[in-house]
Amino acid sequence: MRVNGKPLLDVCNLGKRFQGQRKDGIRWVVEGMSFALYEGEFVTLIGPSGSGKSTLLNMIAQIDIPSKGEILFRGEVINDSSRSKPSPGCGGRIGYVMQDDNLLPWRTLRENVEYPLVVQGRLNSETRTRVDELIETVGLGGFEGYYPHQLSGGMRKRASIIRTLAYDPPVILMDEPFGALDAESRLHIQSDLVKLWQRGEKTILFVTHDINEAIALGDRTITLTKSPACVRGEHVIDIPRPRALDSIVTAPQFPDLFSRIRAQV
Amino acid sequence: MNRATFDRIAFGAMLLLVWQAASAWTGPESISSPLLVAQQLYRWSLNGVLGTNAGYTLLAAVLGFGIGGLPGLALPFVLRKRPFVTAVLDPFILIGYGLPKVAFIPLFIIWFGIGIWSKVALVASVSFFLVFFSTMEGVREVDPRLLRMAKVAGASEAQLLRTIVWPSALPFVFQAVQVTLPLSIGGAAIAELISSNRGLGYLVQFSAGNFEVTGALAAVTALALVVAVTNVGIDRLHDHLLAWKGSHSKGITSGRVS
Repeated sequence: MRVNGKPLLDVCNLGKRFQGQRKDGIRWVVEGMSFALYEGEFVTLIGPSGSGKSTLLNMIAQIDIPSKGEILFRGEVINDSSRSKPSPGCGGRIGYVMQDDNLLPWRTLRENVEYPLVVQGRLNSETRTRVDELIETVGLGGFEGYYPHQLSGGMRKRASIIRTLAYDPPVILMDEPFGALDAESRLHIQSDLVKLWQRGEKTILFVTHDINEAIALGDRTITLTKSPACVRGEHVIDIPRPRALDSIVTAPQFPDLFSRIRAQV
Repeated sequence: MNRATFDRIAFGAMLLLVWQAASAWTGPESISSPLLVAQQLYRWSLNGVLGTNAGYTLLAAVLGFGIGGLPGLALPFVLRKRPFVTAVLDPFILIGYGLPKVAFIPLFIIWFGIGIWSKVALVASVSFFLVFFSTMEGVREVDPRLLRMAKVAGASEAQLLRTIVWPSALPFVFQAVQVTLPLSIGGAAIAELISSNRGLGYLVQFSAGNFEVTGALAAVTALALVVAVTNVGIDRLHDHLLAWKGSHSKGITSGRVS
């Protein structure tokens, strides 16, 4: 674990409500949620489906405005209920890998990976080299000129991950990014992700509904309650790295962690 | 030669045969034969009648398509973030779309004279609505997930329009061009039928007025050829601009034949 000092991202007493069908039917999707992410941490978040995980990430990524509470980045409030208009991505500081790869079908793989750099006006020889490296690292070399419809699901997913890594946001949110993949490519991408994470000082908040995945990837696992979502428990994953992702279940710490987390979701 | 091309030629030959047979049945003074029409077209192409009149009709069509189509193309992008204005305009645009534009030809002639501009006005009034509705659909169909991704990546509103909304809407814009441009040529010819001294529509009207069936059919055939050549051009442009789609629908078929 690489926890040190002040939190990088602080979620304080966060709440989000939606207007229900009936006039008085206000429903809290997230309520009283508090947790912190420290620099360089890989935190996995696990909760029952429909427990407002995506809503939580949308608020952190500033796509949504909270109804209550606040979110701090390096001690500065970046989102709270007083905002009238969200500023998605928080000026390139918070990356967000969503469930779907969301590649632009009219751009080649390379142009897709470069997209955030282009719109941020940061595409130069240095960032191009970085894009080259990332493409090589995840084994997409040779496919730069392919359009998304010519790539497999796993390749598209890799491309969408390195698209976010390419512009180097300090925090990356991931919303069940590997849900739609088959077991084989999933394992492959998981180890790519850990490799990429260990290379750069990235802080990752990774939402999943798979306990094995939460344990295999995370330094810490946070469990959520069912609607309205708030933090139920926190578990330090004390399995030393590098971990063998394909045989994580054989780690001596695994059974205990699994049953503790299982009991909470 | 692939199967589709072969069958197309065979089908075309069959149509010509039926035409020839009909001509033989009625006599060339009411249905002229393909051969006579070909001869007429050949004479017109030599003496410049074909080029001048086809050029005139095509010019009216392209000008009208541009003058009506460009605002029809731009408006949906302007309305994208203005649901209130869209709701206000909606019934007016629907009524405008439903109005028979041909009924305006006499008015267009009063306003713009019997020269090319009354034809341009008719074509523009048809083009605007067709391009508008198709583009509007394209702008509405933009995948919100792509927009969200782009926003998180830091794209400004102008960048969203240019890098997400425009490319998503492009296939719909193209569909509009595919439908509207041939109709524009037809529209220009219809306006010429009513009042003109030039154009393929005028040739049809003039020849028929003199009971020259061969001339009228030759002018109609020339119109068909202009439309066919335009379609080939549109297809080429389509393949060039929408290469990323891999496969696409052409003409009236939903899948690619050939």
